[in-house]
Amino acid sequence: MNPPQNEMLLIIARHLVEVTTELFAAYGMEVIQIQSDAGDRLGPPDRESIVATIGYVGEKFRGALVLAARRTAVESWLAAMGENPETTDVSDTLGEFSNMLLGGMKSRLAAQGLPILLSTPTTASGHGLSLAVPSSPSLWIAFQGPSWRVDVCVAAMFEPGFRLQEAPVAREAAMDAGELLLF
Amino acid sequence: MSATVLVVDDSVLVRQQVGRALTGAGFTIVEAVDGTDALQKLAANPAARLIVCDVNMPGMNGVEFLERLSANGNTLPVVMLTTEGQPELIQRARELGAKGWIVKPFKPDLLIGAVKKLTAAARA
Repeated sequence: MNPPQNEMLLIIARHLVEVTTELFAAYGMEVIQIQSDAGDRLGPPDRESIVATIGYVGEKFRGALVLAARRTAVESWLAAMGENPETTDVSDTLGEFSNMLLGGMKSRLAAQGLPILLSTPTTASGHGLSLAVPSSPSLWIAFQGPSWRVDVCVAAMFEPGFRLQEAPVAREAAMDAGELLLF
Repeated sequence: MSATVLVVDDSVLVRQQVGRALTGAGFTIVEAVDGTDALQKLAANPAARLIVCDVNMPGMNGVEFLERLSANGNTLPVVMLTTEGQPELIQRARELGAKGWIVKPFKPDLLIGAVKKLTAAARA
């Protein structure tokens, strides 16, 4: 059966919520509020903002993950992680978070019959950045901590003939974040 | 003398985090931004005893880097540190001679333990 696009997008978004919450928890940060399409994503134009985007592709579908946050938000993450916000590249930090989020989602999506390949992240920073609405189906989710907020957009475009692949039940499970394997 | 570890990752943040963890444990760090840079840094730092390497990088990625090391007959232990956790990719890295795999975000103590174990094994 070929599930409707919106249903697939919701499946991807559900994994995004779980992976994002786990990622911040791994760095000792708590997500206290999750809101769908919260609007006002980058705040006033006099504040510096950062955007990171990372693409993915699967069999007959493709899309991107976009993270948008104020510079002060990413600086607060760095402080929580024990890094010096003044000497650490905040754009690179948001890019690496986008990489870890999509990497975490990759394992979960593969287990659900949606294997993907990832690109590497691209970032942009500045004042007065504006975000165009993607032409493909997309969802925005705002994750908020005690003193920060990051808006994450997941976009996915499914081509005619897309089907969920057979769930790899018998396959060895993927490794999870934080796990170590020595050969 | 402290052992030298080559850290290969396109993210400044990750290189910084790995570097802090390993220098705190007594290792000396050399950094590279991708596989091509890593090959050059290895040639310039023959004292390197272990490599910590990302998989998804622009330019030469981590698997291509492993392929080049393998083709060159390099026997340095390599620990892959990546967001990827797929069994097929892990198996491919293992076939190419990687000695470990860690999924980001990493726990510093686990990384330090793995690096100590592998550098000690390489010395024995």
